[in-house]
Amino acid sequence: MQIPSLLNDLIGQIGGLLQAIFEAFLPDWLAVPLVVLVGIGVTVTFVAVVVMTQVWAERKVIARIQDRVGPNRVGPWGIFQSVADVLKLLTKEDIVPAKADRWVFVLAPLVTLVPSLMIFAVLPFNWDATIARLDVGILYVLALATFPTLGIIMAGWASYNNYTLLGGMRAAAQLISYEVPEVLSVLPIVLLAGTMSLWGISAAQEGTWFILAPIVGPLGFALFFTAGLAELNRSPFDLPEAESEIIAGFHMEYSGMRFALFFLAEYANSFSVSALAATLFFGGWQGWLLPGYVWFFVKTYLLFLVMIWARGTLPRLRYDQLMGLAWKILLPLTLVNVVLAALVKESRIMEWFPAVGLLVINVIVVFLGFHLYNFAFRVVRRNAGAPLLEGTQAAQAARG
Amino acid sequence: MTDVIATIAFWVFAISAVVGALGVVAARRVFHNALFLVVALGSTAAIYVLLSADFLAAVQILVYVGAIVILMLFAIMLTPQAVELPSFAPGGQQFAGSLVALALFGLMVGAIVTGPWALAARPLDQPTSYDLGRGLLTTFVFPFELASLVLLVGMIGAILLARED
Repeated sequence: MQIPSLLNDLIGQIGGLLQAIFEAFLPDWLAVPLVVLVGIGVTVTFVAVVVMTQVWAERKVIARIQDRVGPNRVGPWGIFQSVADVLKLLTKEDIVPAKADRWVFVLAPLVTLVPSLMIFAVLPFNWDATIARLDVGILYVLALATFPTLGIIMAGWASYNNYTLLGGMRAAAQLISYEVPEVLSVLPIVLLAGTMSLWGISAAQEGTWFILAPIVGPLGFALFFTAGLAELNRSPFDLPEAESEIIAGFHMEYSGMRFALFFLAEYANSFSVSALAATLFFGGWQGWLLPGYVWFFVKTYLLFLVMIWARGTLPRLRYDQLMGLAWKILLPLTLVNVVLAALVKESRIMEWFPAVGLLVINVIVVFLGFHLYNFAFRVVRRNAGAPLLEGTQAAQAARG
Repeated sequence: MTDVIATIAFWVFAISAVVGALGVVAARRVFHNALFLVVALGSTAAIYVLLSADFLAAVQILVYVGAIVILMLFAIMLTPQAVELPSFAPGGQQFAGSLVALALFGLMVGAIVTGPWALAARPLDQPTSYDLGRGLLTTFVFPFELASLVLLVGMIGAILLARED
């Protein structure tokens, strides 16, 4: 039996160096697992630091959107606020509700967090810094991305509380609906790149990024990002934890470190979805002058900023709107996109046109698409009789 | 060294797969049954990885854990929480159950013992998705399309049944 070599290149070399050092002092059977353990420790620390920057950025940006200052007490611009938060969470009392299903309750945060960390093994940070150049990278990520929902359902059920149960059920329904468009929205990129490995997809975008593929790029990105937001349970799709309806949803009964694990998983997933979008559509590490790492992180954080922006701007969807969006809008569009991607691939349009030409085509397409959507929206509104709007008008008329 | 690790990993996942499978039938709460099913299916996926069938492993998790078990849990959450399953009725039900289980076990052991187990002609650490994709769209295109058609018919049937008019 043979385990496919997981470590290579830069990270592999560091690992090899570490192993050589360990082997000089320790027996073989101890040195190999120790290197793996060190690798896991480094990954967990890396994720924790990334999440702290994300939380800080989110609080700062949301505050600015809402015309507040945000955290500004702990350190310059409040950058150590997240450290203070972590310390607070660590020292809080750990409570398991008396009627809770203890084992499931304790396992739920772990089921949520561990697969989220495992995703980081295939993210291509640079051409020489991908821990595993897995051949089925994108499938691996999509498969692991379903576990957090399992954790949420477990948490909701085990807490023995009506609100948590409702949160868990909403999460389950949302995942089943949005998994379909999410998987299908990745398919055009796999078609264009001819590989499912995330490293290979990044490498295939050396000339032009896939976002520039006519229609397929922008449409695919919009679909992937929307479905990704829904899978993350992030605003405007945060129905499983909608404060105004079901208090805190699935994690209501969790306190201290167990709650922190949910929180960590949520932000780690936000990072990996941003990183995936950057890899699939914006070329990953590809860029000019600066090293690939920098490009990867700049793109990922910019996309994460878009998520914060969406959270600060958009109201939460109603339940029927959530289901309607997934099945009536996203799913048909993803299917159309798959066919279009095949046309783009076979017509070799990406090889004929220079990147600027593709950009111009796409800007025109996005412009037209936006106006078409607005037009269609108005027509639907007019024909449907716009019940909400009429209600408001009636109320205004009654008021005089 | 990797051989030793692979062997250890195999036994860990083999045992957890069996424990999960036992839990599916032995646990007394429906929700726990479904969670044990996740353990069994996940361990099977891990064994696929050890056999270098990475595509199969990812699809196993994506389809079974991501869709089917989640759907089961969704349905189970609509049922009361603290209810324990009744145990099997003694006599007829237990006898019939063990008979069916034994017959299935015998059938599988027979298939494993008599089946020709040819060794793979090529090294196992090659990616499998290329060959799988090629096979599905060339040699096995007809069964593949037929399976899609059957699923489509099933889906339309479900919509027809669920429709209220």
